[in-house]
Amino acid sequence: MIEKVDGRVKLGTSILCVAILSTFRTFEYLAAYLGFYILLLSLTGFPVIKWMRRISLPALFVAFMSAAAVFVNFWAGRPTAAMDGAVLFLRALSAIVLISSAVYSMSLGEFLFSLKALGFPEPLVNLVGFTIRYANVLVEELSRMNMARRARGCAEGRSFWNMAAMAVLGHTVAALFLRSYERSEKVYRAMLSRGYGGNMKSLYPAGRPKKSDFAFGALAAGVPLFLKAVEMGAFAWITR
Amino acid sequence: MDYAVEVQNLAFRYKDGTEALRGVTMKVRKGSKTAILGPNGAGKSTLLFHLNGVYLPQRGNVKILGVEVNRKTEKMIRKMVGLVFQDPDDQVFSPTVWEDVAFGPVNFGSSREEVELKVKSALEAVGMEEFAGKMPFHLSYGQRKRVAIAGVLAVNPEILLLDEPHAFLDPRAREDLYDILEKENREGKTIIVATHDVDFAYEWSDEIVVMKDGRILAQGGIEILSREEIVEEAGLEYPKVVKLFKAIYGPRAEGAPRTIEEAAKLLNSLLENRTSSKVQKE
Repeated sequence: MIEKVDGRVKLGTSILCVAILSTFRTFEYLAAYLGFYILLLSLTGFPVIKWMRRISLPALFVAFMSAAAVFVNFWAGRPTAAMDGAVLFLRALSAIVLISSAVYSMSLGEFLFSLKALGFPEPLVNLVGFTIRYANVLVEELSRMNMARRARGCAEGRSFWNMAAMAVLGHTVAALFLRSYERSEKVYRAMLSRGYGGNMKSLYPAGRPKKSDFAFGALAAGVPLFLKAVEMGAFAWITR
Repeated sequence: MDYAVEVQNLAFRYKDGTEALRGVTMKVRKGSKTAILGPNGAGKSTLLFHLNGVYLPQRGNVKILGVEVNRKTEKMIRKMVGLVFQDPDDQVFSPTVWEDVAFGPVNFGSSREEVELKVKSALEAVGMEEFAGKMPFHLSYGQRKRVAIAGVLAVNPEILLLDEPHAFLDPRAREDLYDILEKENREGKTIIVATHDVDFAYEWSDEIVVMKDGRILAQGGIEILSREEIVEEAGLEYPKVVKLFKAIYGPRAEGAPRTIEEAAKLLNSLLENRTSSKVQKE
């Protein structure tokens, strides 16, 4: 269902929500919003498990960085170090969750178009498009090189401190970038031959966003806005 | 006579100093099937890049359907001439087959409806319509080659260039490719194939261009592949059928049949004639 929502609305709303959530100071409200959002996603038939597997690596990275922040604050003598770290973790995790779920439910073309429509500069959009395409080239080259090494008896899983293993790793990375550079030149020529002229063109938009798209956006951005208002004490102010 | 391609004294040098083309002059008839043969480094791929407008002539000139290739016309030329790269992995880079085939039409400004139609018919032409939503990286090499061809057919070019189309294909995929090329040629497209495969060139082409060291060594009908001095100098080999007829008839084998089937028919009829004349004698 979320796939049917206009990409511009989805991406715009996600960016707005990230901006609002980054101002949250309370762990409970952040956790409540995350829980609500993931529940909403699963109710709309979004492939939550598959998507969670995909974001596990950036989530781990965020956890690691937040843990580092806790240690730094703890040594600096801040009594709220643990809670600050937890809030930082949830803010960063919310950003990953919101943006990745929006992107995951779009095609590459729709995503690039949505970025352009939201006013992101053209060179940045082109860069994002190339990076996504180039990632496939890199992964493929790496898997070929690994296979060729394994075929010649290169054992994996040796110690990080093993000099021979490190030398192989270094050569692999260097060769990977050289080969990927060559490949990217060929890919670029292939793009030119099919009419690429410096701008990533896309088939979108199919039309203007519909009322239902805006309703989705209002609901998605309304919840964090409401929670923020409550966090700021608006509820107490109204009932006073 | 109408020419699809006219190349006059074309020269090209790469940045590292390699002279890839040294005064190439050739013409290709409209609607013909032409094979460019030559050893590695002969300049075949560089020549194809010029015909598609990816490379612009440093010296000499190239005309496609009467239009000179230059900076002003390069985009138009790329629409008129489709180029299928040797390695489909260089060409197929989008997240899905559909998006990759749509890449050309989208860049050439087709509307969404037009793109959908073009992608559908291109995928049908290569028998890949059921793979539209798949990731190209999960397909077999032969299937990726078909996707690469579909990506070019979707633009509906008048001239189709293929660089080593048979490389790494299994026999079945080669036959399928043969059928696709025949179909496109019947529909009026001029097809130029750069290849090492002398058997394919001998059986399939109307015209042969032989290249070596950035020069045209010979251009003409398929009979030039029976001429010893050309085959030797270009470092090629005789097509299998020619080899067989050379073994039987010696140097007189220049009018050898094109295919194994034709050769078998001819040999059968010769055997029958010999048997019947033997019977008559007895």
